Amino acid sequence: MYLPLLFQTPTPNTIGYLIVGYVIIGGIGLLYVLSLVLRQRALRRDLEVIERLHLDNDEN
Amino acid sequence: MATQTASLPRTTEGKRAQPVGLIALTVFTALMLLAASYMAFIYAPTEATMGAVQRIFYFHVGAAWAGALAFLVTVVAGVLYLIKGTRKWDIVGLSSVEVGLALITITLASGPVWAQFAWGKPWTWDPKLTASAVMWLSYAAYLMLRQGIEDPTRRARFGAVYGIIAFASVIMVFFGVRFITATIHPVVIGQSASTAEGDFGMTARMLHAMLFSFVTFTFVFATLLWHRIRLERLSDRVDAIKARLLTR
Repeated sequence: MYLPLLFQTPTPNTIGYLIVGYVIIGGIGLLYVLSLVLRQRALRRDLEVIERLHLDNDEN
Repeated sequence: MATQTASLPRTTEGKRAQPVGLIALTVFTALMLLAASYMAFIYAPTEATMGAVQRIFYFHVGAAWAGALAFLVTVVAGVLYLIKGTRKWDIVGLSSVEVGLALITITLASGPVWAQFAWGKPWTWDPKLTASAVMWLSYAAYLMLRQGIEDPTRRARFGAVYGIIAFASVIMVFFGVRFITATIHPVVIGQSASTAEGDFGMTARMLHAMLFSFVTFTFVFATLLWHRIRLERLSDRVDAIKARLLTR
């Protein structure tokens, strides 16, 4: 009854592949989110500069 | 002075706090990602012949599903743009392509790690993999080609038509290759080809983890899309104000 178990190959240790895989998945996800944050920050900076220029023009 | 300040329209938009709905959705999606990680790493059992590496499958397939959904949204937005001609649908189409491309990049980059173990090589020019690479390139080209068109109306029309046509590559990846019998890539839903390598029987818990991953990545897509749409609207506003100031 237990004879087939003797011929089964043991489950391989592939934890290293798993870690690399999820580092890649997380890394790409974080990079994309970071790109969204940086672009939004740059646009807000642009708005602030425009506002400042506009106010300077009004004062002159 | 007050009148002059008011003449600079809606410049505080960029500083406006995010909508409560978007904050709630972002937090909920983050929690869903944590739960999906639990399902993938702990709840689902270890596959006997491949071991832990098989767990890549849950996020690999989830991201592929959400990427395909993103490109479908681009088709719908493209059709609506061609009918209504409003910038709103161009923004949705563009944003959805960008988010979809990020998700498909996750799929294409994580697959080779699994393949290195299962097939002994990270990549092969198998029909399914080749079609996936063509799909990725098609949508990357969408973003690049858009940049080259100056006129906003022509750019939006090009984006709408291209987004609809490029969906053929998605159909090829997810459905077309099912009719090709000589692929080594296993399929998740339905019967794999006889030449598939790395196929495995899914237990009930594996199926739960996979379905949960599908739902989670749908939320990931929705959240990123909403953020990306807001970013594009902010960009439009900055451009409009710049143009107005230059013509004064």
